[in-house]
Amino acid sequence: MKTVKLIRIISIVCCMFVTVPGFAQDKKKKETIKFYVEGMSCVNCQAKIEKNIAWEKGVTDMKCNLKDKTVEVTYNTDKTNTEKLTTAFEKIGMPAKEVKKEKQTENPIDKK
Amino acid sequence: MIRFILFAGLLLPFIPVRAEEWLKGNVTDKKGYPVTGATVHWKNTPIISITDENGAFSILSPDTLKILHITCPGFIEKEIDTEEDFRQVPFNIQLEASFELDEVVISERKPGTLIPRTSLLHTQRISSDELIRAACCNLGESFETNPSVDVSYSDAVTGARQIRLLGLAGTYVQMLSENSPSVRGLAAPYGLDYIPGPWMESIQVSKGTSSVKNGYEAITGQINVEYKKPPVADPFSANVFVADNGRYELNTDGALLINDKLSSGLFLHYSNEMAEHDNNDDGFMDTPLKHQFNIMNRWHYIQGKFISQTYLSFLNEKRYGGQTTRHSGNIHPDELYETFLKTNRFQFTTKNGYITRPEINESIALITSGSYHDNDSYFGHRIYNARQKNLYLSVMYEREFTKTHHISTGISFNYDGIRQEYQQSYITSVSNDEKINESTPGLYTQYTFNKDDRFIILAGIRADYNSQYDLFVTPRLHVKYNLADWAHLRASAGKGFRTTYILPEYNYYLASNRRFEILTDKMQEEAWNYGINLSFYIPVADRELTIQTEWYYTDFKKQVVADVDSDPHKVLFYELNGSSYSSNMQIEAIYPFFRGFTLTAAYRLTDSKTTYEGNLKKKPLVNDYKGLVTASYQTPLKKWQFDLTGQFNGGGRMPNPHDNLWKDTFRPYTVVHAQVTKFFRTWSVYLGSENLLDFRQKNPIIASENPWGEDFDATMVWGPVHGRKLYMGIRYNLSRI
Repeated sequence: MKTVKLIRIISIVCCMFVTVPGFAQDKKKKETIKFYVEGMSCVNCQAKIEKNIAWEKGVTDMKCNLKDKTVEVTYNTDKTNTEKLTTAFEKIGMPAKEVKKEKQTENPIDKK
Repeated sequence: MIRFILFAGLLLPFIPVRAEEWLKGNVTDKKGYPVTGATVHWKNTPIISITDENGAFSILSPDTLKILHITCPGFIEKEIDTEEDFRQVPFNIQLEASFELDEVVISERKPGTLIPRTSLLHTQRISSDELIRAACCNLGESFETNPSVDVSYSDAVTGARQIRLLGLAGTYVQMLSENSPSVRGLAAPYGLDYIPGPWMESIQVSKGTSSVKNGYEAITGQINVEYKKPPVADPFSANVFVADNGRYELNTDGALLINDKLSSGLFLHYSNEMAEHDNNDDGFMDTPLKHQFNIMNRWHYIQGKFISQTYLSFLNEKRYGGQTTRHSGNIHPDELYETFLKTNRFQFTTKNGYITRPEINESIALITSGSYHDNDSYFGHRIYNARQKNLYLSVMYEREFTKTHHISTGISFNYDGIRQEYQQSYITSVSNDEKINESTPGLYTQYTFNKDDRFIILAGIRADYNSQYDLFVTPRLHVKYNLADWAHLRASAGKGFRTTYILPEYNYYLASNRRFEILTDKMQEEAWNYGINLSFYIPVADRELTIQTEWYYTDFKKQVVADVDSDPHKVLFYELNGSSYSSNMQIEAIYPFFRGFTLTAAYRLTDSKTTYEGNLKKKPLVNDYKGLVTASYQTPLKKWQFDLTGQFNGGGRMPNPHDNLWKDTFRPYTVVHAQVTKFFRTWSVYLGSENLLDFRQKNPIIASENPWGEDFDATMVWGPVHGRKLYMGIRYNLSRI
């Protein structure tokens, strides 16, 4: 009886692990984009971005750099795109500009 | 007199304070962009404002206050002299970005438990992030991931639990709620269940002797609970919890900002655990049936230089334990051994502070706190009813002479009145209706020397006059020295005193047929505590390895020894005659191995001995060592969290076994807890297991087959009395951000 119960628990925990998006074998195409967010000036602003952008459809990872005011967003290209993400930043009152790799010398960070 | 002081204390929050003007302004960065969430406050005062989404703030502006202090993570903090720097309206403050902040990654986790590096005392702060790593239904369950504090059942019938810190019972730890007396006296055996987990903002665990400001009672340490604060708490939170042992509970708390000065919080808890379990088939329920209702209302008021906090709480709890007809075969209901406890507890605290001269950090504060605890109980045929009244008053004065020299002084008064009724059949006493009254006025002074936060000395002394035990003096000393940025040394030495209330604190021994023999009337205990702590913060592979090493030694000069060794049918209480000490060594390492993953490993050795009838022996039912490993992983977007905790408890000595009723030692055992949490935007769901490996102490009740016989004893508990528990819960949170 105890063994059955233990197996049941382990099965539930295993199922939960398997369904975690981060652990799943994701063969879909992912891209990472860097945004410059002028309004991200404090920890609370970070928290606001974290609470909202993380839940945008297709977002799979995110890293913020408070010093540079940049947010790196990794997303699934089948589910979202740069425009949708830019709109999401605008919606929460944190307008974001894409930092393009080929024009790095012109981006707002380097201008600082 | 007491009534008058109580009335005055309650009245103080409502004394009118003259109206003040408001100062309005904006905080921006160098480019003129608004800075959201910056803290703007008058230096050395609690008058505070937070900038909104547009960087705007509005703060009360008393005439005497001049220096505004502005802080915001990511920016260099700034001080503004409002007379010198501002001539225009509205005021604009520019902050400069901090260049110490090399990289702040949004998904890096804050540690749930931390020892603030600048803190003089060796204090662990357990935050709400740590509390959600386990079920944490109440204070007693909040230390499962903590290596320093152990929580164990006192007996296998009533569900009484006690904390153990530095190898000694929880009664030697001063328990506070928001720095006012909380779980003590009659509340001690069951009080850990009186503070619901979701109500707590944080817990501070201070090891060793503490400051003299909070009294003389802390011997091995101090545990202070901070509840959620209405001015900054989220508007609404709720938690629903169910477990496979039939327990379900509901917790809610809400904060309301009534106006700029006044805010209020309402906290509710209801729990019900009415399913009977007897997994070891001894005829007794493994844990008692419980029913608890708990409510707290708190108020926060600020006007000018005056700040006031008041909270009131009420608790009603019922516990039914012992044998049941369902599990006890053909026993006639009249012959069942049953326990019952009914508790009603009312508590209030009001804290009022006034900043007299902010420029020199001069303030005066009054803390008034009181409780009424009513407990009716029976354990088989043994009846024990008791009521305790407590009143605590403290007036504190603080002043900073220079940045280096700071002094605080104050007076305090504590009153405990206990009335208890019991049967003479189980206790050696001349009366069956006893009254205990104890008043202790006292005064203290404390001096702090602080050289650039690198070298700090805190020396305090207090003198108290106890109506039963006359004058006693409590000296305490703390030193902190930063050997290097990565190595901090703390040392402390100090005395502590407390009065033992035998039946209120040890009434769980009634869950046996041991006869109480009280052989002393000197109930005051006295002990020295010495400690040393070295903290290392070592950079390893771009991350920081934290190592805490410590040694604490408690040496009793006077003690009321509870002796269950000398006679298996008695519990003797007598004055210590000989040595009694507890020595603890602990090492703890914390390292975030990779993004989102933190591992904590700790090991503690305990050597705790007392002289029992002339023989120095190890304290019974105390583990020789404890190892703890906790692993926690949070996915990058904080959508999932996985927690695993392993407690490796050492063996120890059992009380002297007569007639082979039990063995003379108990063996080491391992307890594992696991939890998975899934976060959503406003809510989260968690699923977990306590005691996943289903380890149980077999037959924790001695002679359970004959509870009316002289050998019956449910207090020989050294391990878990219940098996694996599965639980699930949902948290909802309406965020203020």
